[in-house]
Amino acid sequence: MAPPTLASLFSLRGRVALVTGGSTGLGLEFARALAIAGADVAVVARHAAPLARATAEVAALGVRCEPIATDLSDPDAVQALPGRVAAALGGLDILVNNAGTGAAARAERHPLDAWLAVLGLDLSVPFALSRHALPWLRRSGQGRIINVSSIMGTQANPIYPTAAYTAAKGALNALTRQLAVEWAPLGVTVNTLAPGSFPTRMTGDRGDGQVDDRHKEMLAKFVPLGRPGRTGELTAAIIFLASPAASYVTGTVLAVDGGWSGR
Amino acid sequence: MTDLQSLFSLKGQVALVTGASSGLGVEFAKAMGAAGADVAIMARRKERLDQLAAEIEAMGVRCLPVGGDVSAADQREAAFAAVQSGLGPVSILVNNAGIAPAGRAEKQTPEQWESALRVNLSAVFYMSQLAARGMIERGGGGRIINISSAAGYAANSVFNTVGYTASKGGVELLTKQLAIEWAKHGITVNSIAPGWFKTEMNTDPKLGDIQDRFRTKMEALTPMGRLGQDGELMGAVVFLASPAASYVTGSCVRVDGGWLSW
Repeated sequence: MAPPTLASLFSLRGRVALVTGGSTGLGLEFARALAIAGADVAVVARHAAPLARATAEVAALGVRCEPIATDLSDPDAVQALPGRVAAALGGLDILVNNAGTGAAARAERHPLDAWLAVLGLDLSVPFALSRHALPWLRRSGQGRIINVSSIMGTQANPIYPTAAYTAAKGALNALTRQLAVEWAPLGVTVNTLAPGSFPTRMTGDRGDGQVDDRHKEMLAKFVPLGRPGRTGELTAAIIFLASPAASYVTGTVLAVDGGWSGR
Repeated sequence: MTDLQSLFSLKGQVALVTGASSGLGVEFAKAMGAAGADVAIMARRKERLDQLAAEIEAMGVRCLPVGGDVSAADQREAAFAAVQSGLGPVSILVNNAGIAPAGRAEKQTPEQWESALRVNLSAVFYMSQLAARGMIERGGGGRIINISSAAGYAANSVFNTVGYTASKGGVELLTKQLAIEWAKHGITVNSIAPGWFKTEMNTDPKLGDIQDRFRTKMEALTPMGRLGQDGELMGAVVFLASPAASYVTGSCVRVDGGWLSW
């Protein structure tokens, strides 16, 4: 056996990845990460302008990048998505279910329609997309599904009232295990990446890596490293889970949370 | 960071891998070398380290074999001193050495039980202490990676290894406690929980292989339907050791073919 190298462990050259919600925030980091490792990437998002910016940024890393503007709340669009990616980039090997949403509302007042909307995008869409992507992932021989969950998949949110988000992420972790078991014989691994506190617009932060006072207070209490995660600190984790080196990793939750879930 | 080298390279680091004379330890040591770290390999049976040392040096890094028993205080201290003078201060510690005394729980001897806790749990703590003291003093942070087991989360349903299972459960929480205590020093502490791999521990010495009845059970209870293969733990250890894993601490990477999912 030839001695291993970083490239033999982690290179994604020749693979095609699909990242939902890939034009901003963590999704953009994931798209960039997979491109850094050499994968061609389809970036899926609703809005054309950020999508165009993200596409340029990913393509600048020397891979092919296909922008796909679509609304994941449309089941027909979700069903068609893997085929569109395969038609544009020649296949589909890595699915990153990153698109998500949250609603801040106290549990006793949580509107039911908001509950259903959060469960729809955070749980039902990853399930539907995984199903529809399966034929391509099987054909890949090294198919990977990476569900982007959250620290809230295993613990409650101590500051913001996010019943629907917390429930959806817990269910996403459970879905990961079930799909991992059902699809292990098909050569497809299914794992969860669980970020801790990474300030983005979705977490109610300014989107520039800075956090407000309430968020700071939460970090001081709950995060042993005492600071939020920084841009780039999820890059290695997503590459690892997508890589040839993770061929025996399935059904797991990989926490990148500064020690939060350890306490 | 825009290439694999800048994300994962361990050039300039010194990794100490315990239990490096066989099984998974060999793989962890090679992985450290492949990523560019200088590697100290430690085991009781020092004469068995020479060939591995040559293989690792062929990767273009330095490799230092160190004899010693992790369960003996003086030998742990001597090992750190030898690495310090031979390669420099340890910045990555891979606590891999372990034993799995087998026998039904009602028949295990006190020595079987206590030796499992001594090697698998106490030695992991004491080695981590020695590593962390240096890392704290130097101020540059570091990485501690404890090799736990799927048995750290669920009972071993293939072999009767009560001390092994209890000690690995302990390693999981030891990992988390050290992670929160040492976070402020930039030391991350994580674990890897392998499922079934062929190692010296589960190989029948007379047969030179895992007995069929055990292998069948391992395969049947693993969703992937197979054991882990050579090389399938390298990515996890390089990832956790890497500069890019700076926000990962108190975590466990399970490499188990899905064993713990059902």
